[in-house]
Amino acid sequence: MNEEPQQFRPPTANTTEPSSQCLTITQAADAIGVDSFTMLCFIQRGEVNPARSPSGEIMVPKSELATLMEKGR
Amino acid sequence: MLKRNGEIPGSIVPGSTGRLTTGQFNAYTAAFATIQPEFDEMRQMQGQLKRFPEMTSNRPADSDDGAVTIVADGIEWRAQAQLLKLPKSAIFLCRQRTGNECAIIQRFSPESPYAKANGQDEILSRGADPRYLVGEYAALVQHTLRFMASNLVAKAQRVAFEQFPEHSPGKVVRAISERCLLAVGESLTMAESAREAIPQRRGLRI
Repeated sequence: MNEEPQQFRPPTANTTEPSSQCLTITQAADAIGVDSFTMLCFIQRGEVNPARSPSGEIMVPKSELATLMEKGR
Repeated sequence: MLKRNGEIPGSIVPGSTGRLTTGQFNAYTAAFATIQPEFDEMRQMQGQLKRFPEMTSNRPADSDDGAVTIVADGIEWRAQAQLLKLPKSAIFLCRQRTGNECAIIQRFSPESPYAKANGQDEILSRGADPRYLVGEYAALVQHTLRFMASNLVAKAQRVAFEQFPEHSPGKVVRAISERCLLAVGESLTMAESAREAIPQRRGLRI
């Protein structure tokens, strides 16, 4: 039988942030001592503007983390 | 026997109805391993969401015994129920010590850099009706779990396509997606049941 056609392909990159300037959700959460769930809540509440990796994974620009750490000041 | 890529399709994985060839199963295992810790965390939260109703009942609201006291926004709050326990924080349903207003408050670990910068306690929502507050929060958790599941699939997708391009990674990703969606899909009922089960007129009795 022939190779099954691949119906699902990774999306192309749509991030404007260089990958070196972004962290995964887990990395970003660890960096500021919160849970991944909490980091996703920050994104949902609009407190963090995320980027996306070429595979569609949500990334957090380091600049956004800095803003988050200063929100209470 | 019918073969796919020269392999007999045979392996069934949790949450998926399709069968995977040996190569696809190996890809599935490798890709899923990269999201396993977060998947487990997601399922654990789903379990806590299921317990929202029992956590918000069965204890007298006026009891101070062992109650956590939180000061946030200059107001003293008494925790009436711990809704979620996360590795680095906890979410409480609280009531004003001298008043009737309620709030959902997140308490971060004091060692957390975020807590040091912004304070240990953060009010997520507040209002007079605890049933409404908890119901809304349950819906938010449910939504975030879906968001989390979708992100886990994207993470696994990268591994499947980069490391196993010859093993129909699309099918592998579909199987992982089905498992993740199944895990959070069950929380729909849980959030709804939490909303239904909370006492309406007397507030929360802890």
